[in-house]
Amino acid sequence: MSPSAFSPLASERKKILLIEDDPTLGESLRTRLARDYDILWLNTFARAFQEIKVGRMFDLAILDVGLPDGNGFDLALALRSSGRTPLIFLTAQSDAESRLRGFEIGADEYIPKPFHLKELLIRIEHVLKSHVPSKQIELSQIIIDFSAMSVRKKNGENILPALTDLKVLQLLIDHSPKVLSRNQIIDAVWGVDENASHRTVDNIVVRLRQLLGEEDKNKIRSVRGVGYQWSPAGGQDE
Amino acid sequence: MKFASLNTTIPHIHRMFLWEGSFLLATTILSGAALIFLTYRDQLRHHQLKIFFSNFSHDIKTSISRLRLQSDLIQEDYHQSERRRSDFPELHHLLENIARLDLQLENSLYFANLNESRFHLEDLNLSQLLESLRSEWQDVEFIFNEMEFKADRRAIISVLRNIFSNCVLHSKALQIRLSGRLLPKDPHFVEIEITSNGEIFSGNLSELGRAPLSLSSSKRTRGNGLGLYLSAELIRRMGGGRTLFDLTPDRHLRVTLTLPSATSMQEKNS
Repeated sequence: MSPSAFSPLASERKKILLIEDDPTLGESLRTRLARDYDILWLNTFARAFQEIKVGRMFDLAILDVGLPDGNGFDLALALRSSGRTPLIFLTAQSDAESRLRGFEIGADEYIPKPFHLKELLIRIEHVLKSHVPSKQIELSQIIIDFSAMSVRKKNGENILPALTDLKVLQLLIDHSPKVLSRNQIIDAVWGVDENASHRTVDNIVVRLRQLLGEEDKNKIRSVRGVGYQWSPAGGQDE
Repeated sequence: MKFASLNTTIPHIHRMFLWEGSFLLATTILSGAALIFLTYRDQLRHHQLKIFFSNFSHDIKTSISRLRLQSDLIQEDYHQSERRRSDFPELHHLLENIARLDLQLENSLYFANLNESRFHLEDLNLSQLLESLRSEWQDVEFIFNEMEFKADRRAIISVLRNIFSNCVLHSKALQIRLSGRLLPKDPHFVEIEITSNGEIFSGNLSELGRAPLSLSSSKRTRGNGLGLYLSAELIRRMGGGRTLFDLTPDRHLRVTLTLPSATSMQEKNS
């Protein structure tokens, strides 16, 4: 079987980018990991680089280092420059220099081949758990609890906003300071098969700004022609 | 007459010096050039060997990864079907043999490049390492007290795999105990004592950890001693002390490793 595109997205499942040039390993890993995660398996540097360049977001990237047309360290650098995607290197290059380079780039784990499936699964889970976004955020007028998907005003009033609104807010916070396009937000929150429009995203941002209140509404910053950004310091729209 | 004879002898001697000198110079230049050529050829061959080893190890590791992943997947499916392992011993043997093949390859690669091996020393703890290793010996119980030390992750995993493999293969151990402590005399070092249950040790203790003179396996021990020799060498090269092999009072093998203690422990004790 050839490298695959995402299976239809269930929005709660974590998305993993798997870069592995060996067809048997890639296919076996994709099949096994797809039981628990949404997997995008690519087998060349060029295809992976293209995917990163268009700004597709992942919860984790598992990278082989030796690829036929490039190397995984350069891919990791590209991923790092476009956001804070957690990284696991899964490679036969296990010498001290390579491991050091991997950690310098910011790898969360460096797993040498041959590996145990159980160990890989444990480490994936561990990395995903350690990058769980903040569960609660306190602003000047409200406290947002993302685990309960609820908002508590400081005057004691509780609000349960629309789930999609909070998912959009959480997405912006998790990827801050990166600017997310409307398409990226739609892709991550609704999935590729749904028909949400740019207007839907804009309406949600209007509602979120009302929810944040006068003092914090500028924390969601519009970037003209690009999309939206969570700016903790607040900022003017462009 | 005498003067005439002397006049003819001096140019003759000059010519002789000239020839001999030229010959010596030419020989020196040629020898030097030959030495440079041979050194260059040796370096080139060394470089080619290095590339060959690098490609070979990459390919073979990928192949072993494939085998191991396939067998892990089969085993996982098999466990989900709730059948007992004894129903399918071949799968268990396959996994064991893949793990042995992997260890033998790792040992060969370390042995071939021992003098050029570089280490990246980092703070590690026993629980992290055992979490990685326990999948390989699923029937073995590990008892340990937490200990932090400084080591190269790949090298220390190789050391522990060799020692555990030795315990399981030769003593048929079902329990391995690791007890670590700071050296009372020098808190910059930790000592880790590894013992196991199983059959009592019946080999020659003085041979353990020594450089294997011949890599052919001994029929009696089913091993060539390379694993324990490498373990001792790797520990030494990571800044640790001499690895000791002795027997417990009930005649089980005891391996004692000494490694630099973790940065936090060194700071605490300085």
